[in-house]
Amino acid sequence: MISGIAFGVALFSLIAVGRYHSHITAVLSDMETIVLNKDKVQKQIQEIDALDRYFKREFNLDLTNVNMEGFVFRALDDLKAHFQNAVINVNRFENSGDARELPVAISTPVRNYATVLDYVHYLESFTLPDFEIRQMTISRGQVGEVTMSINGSFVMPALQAGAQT
Amino acid sequence: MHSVELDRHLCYNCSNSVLKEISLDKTIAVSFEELNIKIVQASSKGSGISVERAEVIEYDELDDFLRREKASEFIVTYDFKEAYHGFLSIPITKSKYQRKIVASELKRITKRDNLSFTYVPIDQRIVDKKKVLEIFYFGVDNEVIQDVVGRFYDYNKVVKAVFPTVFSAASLIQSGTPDEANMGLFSTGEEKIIFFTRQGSVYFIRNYESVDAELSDFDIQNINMTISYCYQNIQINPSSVVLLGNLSESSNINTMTNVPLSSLYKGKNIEFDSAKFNEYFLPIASFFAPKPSNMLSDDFKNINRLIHYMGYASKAFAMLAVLCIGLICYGVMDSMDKRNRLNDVMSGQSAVLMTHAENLKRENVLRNITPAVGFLNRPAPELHELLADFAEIDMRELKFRLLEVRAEASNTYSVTIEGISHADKYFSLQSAFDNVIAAMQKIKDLSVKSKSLNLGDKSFRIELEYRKTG
Repeated sequence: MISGIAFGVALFSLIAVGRYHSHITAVLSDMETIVLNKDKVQKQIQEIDALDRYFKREFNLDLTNVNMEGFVFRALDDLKAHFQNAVINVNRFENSGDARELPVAISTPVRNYATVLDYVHYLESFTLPDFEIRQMTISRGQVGEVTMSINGSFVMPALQAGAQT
Repeated sequence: MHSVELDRHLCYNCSNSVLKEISLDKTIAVSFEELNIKIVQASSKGSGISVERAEVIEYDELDDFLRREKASEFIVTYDFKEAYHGFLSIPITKSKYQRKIVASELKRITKRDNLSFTYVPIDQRIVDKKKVLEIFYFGVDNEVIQDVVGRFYDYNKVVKAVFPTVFSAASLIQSGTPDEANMGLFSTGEEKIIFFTRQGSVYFIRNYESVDAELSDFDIQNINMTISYCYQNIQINPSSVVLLGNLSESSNINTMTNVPLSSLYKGKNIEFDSAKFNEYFLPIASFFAPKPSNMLSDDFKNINRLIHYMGYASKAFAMLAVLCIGLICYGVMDSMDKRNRLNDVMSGQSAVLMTHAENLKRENVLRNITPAVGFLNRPAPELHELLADFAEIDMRELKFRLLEVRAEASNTYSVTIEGISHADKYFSLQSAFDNVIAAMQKIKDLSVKSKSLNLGDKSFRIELEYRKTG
């Protein structure tokens, strides 16, 4: 009888101690994981800072405060400056999946094939925003003049505007 | 009258005795005799016993004794005055059915429903041309046993066995050969008991009132009469008559028995004062009594079994409790160790929180970096490379009129080239066209889908697919 009660009490105590042991083991494991992750997070912060600096340096893009439309318009201004005699039509911004697009139609006379290569190379030199050529036509008119028409879009990833640090 | 010096008959212990089943350190033999109660405590020594304590108490002292006694297990020898014993013939069956048949017969003979009994097969006989087994039975009313044993259980004691005095006494008489029978005689106050025994089993019992406490001629007559009776009825002749207890001392008798007389002396397997042996021979003998002679009723046997199992359960629980305590100690120590480690880890929590805050500050940057990097890493076909390759082609007399590039699926452009030729000869036209096609087929990632040359107006059309493979 006494041994039965003693066993019962011991078993109850063992269960209680076991549950506390499991709990403290889980907490310790979580805390150790957090401490381990702290180093990983610090490394990640360094990588984020490096990338942030890279985007600022290479693309003049502040990821913490992105003004995406202004960024595209600035590229459009550059484009207009490059295509002096071109007719450039711009449509409205469109959303396309994870990107924002500004459709642009360019029609310009070209003197020779080298000019064509220069224009295409110029358009493809845009990276952020990118200029995607959807259609390009080079045709020779009745009197021998050559016209180049390009339908494309300035494309930017859909970044979150106005992000605060 | 003359004094007779009797032969010595050394007592022995039966291999089937209750001695093998009990823990002597905790077991006390109690013999209820005519005038008083004799108590013996012994310890196991080899195949025998060593008596450590022997005392005599009055009947009214039993309750006090049981109250103060620390030992928990008892063997009881009781002189059942109202017992049923005799011979019985039963059909020859397998031994496992014998007990049920004997029980049924005893119920019929004694008209008692609640009987505890033991029996010994004697011999097979032919009765009315049928083979029967003759047995000797000894039965006691369970109520009597309950009255005796119940007093022990009232004080939380356990009675392992209850033996009638004859069965205890018989366990001390040794047979020379397996078939050799002996007759025993001992006195219980005014009454004397004669019994036949072989290999510790009792075959016949006779009680009679004695005129003298010592061995007398009257006893010798009774012995001779009993020998004759047994020989006539069960065809057993004793090789000797063994006098037990106080009767084993020298006696004054004028007549002799038909078989040699001997007296029981303490054997070497019993360590005890020889002078007191005769007085305590019944409780001592009960240690050697055979198990089948145990008259304890099934109810008490079940209680004993239950107590026995509870004892095991108690030990098992105690062991498990100790095991649990060990595990608890381990668990507590390990928990304390982990608690200390946790405190150490928690002491660096402020650095973790600072890192977390720093990470939160960059959460928006991180959200923009992934799509921005993904955007930069996406594949994009370089059209100017294709156009530059076209510039390398020797067109000869051919002249482009239209170059159309249209984006199709991802990384794929369809290219259409239309033009005319200024060649005068068809061969030159054909040669120049083939030259252009061959040159285009050499351009990487470019494949010719269709080509046509119109000899009428000397125009041509080429459809190409430009798929950037990396």
